[in-house]
Amino acid sequence: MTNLQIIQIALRRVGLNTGSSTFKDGARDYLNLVTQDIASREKWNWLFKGSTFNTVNGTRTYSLASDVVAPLSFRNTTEDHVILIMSTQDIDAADPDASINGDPRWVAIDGVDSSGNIEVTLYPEPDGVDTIAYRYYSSIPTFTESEDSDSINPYVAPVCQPALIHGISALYKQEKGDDQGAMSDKQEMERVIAIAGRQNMNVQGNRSYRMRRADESYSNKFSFTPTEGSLS
Amino acid sequence: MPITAESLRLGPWRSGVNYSLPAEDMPPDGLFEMENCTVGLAGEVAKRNGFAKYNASAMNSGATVTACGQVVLAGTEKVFAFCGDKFFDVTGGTATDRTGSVTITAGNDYTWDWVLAGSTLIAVNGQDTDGIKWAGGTSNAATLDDSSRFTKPKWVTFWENRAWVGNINGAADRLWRSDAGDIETWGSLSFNSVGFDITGLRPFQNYLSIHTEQGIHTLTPTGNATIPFQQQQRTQRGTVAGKSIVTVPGERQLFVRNDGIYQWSGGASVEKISLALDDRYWSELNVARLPYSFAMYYPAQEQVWFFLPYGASQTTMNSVVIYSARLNAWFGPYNNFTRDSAALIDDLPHAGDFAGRINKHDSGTNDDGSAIKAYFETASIAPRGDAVSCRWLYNRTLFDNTGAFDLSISQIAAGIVSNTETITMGNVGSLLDSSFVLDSSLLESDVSALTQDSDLFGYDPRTMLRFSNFNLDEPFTVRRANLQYKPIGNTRERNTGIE
Repeated sequence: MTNLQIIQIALRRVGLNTGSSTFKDGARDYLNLVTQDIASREKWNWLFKGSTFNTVNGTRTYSLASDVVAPLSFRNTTEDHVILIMSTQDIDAADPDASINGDPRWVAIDGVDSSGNIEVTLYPEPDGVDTIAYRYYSSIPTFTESEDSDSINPYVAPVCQPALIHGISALYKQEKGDDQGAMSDKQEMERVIAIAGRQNMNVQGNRSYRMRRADESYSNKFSFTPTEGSLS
Repeated sequence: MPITAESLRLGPWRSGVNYSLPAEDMPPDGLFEMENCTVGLAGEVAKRNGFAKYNASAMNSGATVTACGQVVLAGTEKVFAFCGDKFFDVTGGTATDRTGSVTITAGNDYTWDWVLAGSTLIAVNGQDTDGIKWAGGTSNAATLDDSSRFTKPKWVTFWENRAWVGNINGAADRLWRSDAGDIETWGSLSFNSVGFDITGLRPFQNYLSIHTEQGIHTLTPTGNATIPFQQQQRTQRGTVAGKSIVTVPGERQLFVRNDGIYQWSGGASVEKISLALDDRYWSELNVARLPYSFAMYYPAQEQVWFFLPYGASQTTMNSVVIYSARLNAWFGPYNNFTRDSAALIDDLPHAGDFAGRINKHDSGTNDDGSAIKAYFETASIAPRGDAVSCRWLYNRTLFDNTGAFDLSISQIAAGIVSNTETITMGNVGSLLDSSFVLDSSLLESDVSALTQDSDLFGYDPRTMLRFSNFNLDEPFTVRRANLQYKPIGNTRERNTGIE
């Protein structure tokens, strides 16, 4: 569905004129609130994305794409190796005066730049041009009227789109004082999100997950050590 | 699953239209505005009937019809018309020139006041020197002998077996009477003076009512040969338009004044009955032209049609408001035509236009081939008061089965975006004696009102509806509307209007 289709269906449920720009603006505001709410609920498969940036000789910090919410992994595709996500403290400990340069092996999430985009610091400081690829969970942009005709599928999967309609109408009914109607729509929204959540878990097919060994050489190790008793 | 909602009923609209109240203060059985609609006895609102040409060929090269009427002369019903500078026998719709040698001056404002005086039609127009008489048959019109007592009389009537004329050249306050039983013999002292310009004459109850703008005077028979009539001023207000005086059953006399339409029941006072036309209707009339307005009584419907000039610079009568004597209510206006005269012919309202034709009104479903643009607007009701917001859900309209035509229904409220829905009227069923198929068809009803639902939108304490149809040959009759709403409660509005 397009943004406008969702807005108009929601307005119809609220009982407001679907052609009024005043009501469409109000519904679009609520669409933006509901999309942020839904995006924060799960690691939605449809928000899983990848991107790249190129290093510059002598530059340590780089900004990630504007829609990055949670970076997941980095790799140097030029030199064909992974880049471990470390903390800024680790980098400071390894090179307090930030004087070491070479092929970057570590990356640390280092706040945001002046535009609010997530910034990362590489260690060692790159001494040439490498392509760094990364994976992340993206955000959903704030929609404006100019995007009314755009499909919302890239940001919210069709299975979850009914939740947008119910969410908008719930918020709009609350605004109009119809708490009873708002509660009913909110329940519908939660029901749809729950269904979408189950589908999100199954999107990887028959893949299963297990805890990794403590001695595996990954950055995020997991250890489980019984202090007493036994595992019977 | 039933919808949890409450219902607001608008109509039947027995109170008619009221142009002096805002929509918010109108009762549910009142109408805020309307055009080209009638209000029936049951309070239903219908698109008015249309009109058609009575005489197919225009009279006198399309001149203005300054008077028309139907009288029985020599035992035969005759339809006559003054058109331009000629007089016609228009019986049966075919116009025959019966002007003869009489002088008739053409002019839109030179309308004729006429009366059946025994077996003779007599008429005056205040412009031509002599009155006119016509005996019907195949004779021509002739000059009314006035014994050289007066010229250019404006008003004429017949009462107590005498002809009476008022407002003559040089003596606007004078009323002359003929001898009893002889409409062409006028005694030298057979006159009364009322002191004010006479604006109309009508027999009423056991009087002759003589209207002046300053009051209604009466003449009452005394039985005394020396002073045969007693003159008395009865009221302080009379008409400004003699052709607007109409007597309705119950012996009430209605007439037009500059500020509205009044009623006189024969007592010492008159009563303004057109308060419902004040403000939004009467203020739009060209008051300076009201002396040329006219009215007619429509017995079959117990209606009085007042032909009025709507518009600040409107000179001709282009707007008809209707007083329903049965409902004691107003409706209208009827418009989209202009008229210069009117009369009851064949029990239907007929009116003369400016193109040489008499038009038969209240007939058919179009205006001589053109669509009738009809609409009406209901009251704006707040079912829970102005503080309580309501969500408006849908409207159920009850209407008569007049045909499968579209009816537009617009929703209007201060805080709601106006929206127009269309319902298709008419029955989807089949007639029992023609197209009905057992176990297949719906049985068509021609007696019960049908219903159709249309969406309502928005949140506002109040709302109103506008019903309209501007299409050719598409009548409608709406009986009432039921608006379903859900009371939300007291909600604060941040701004005026749509938010």
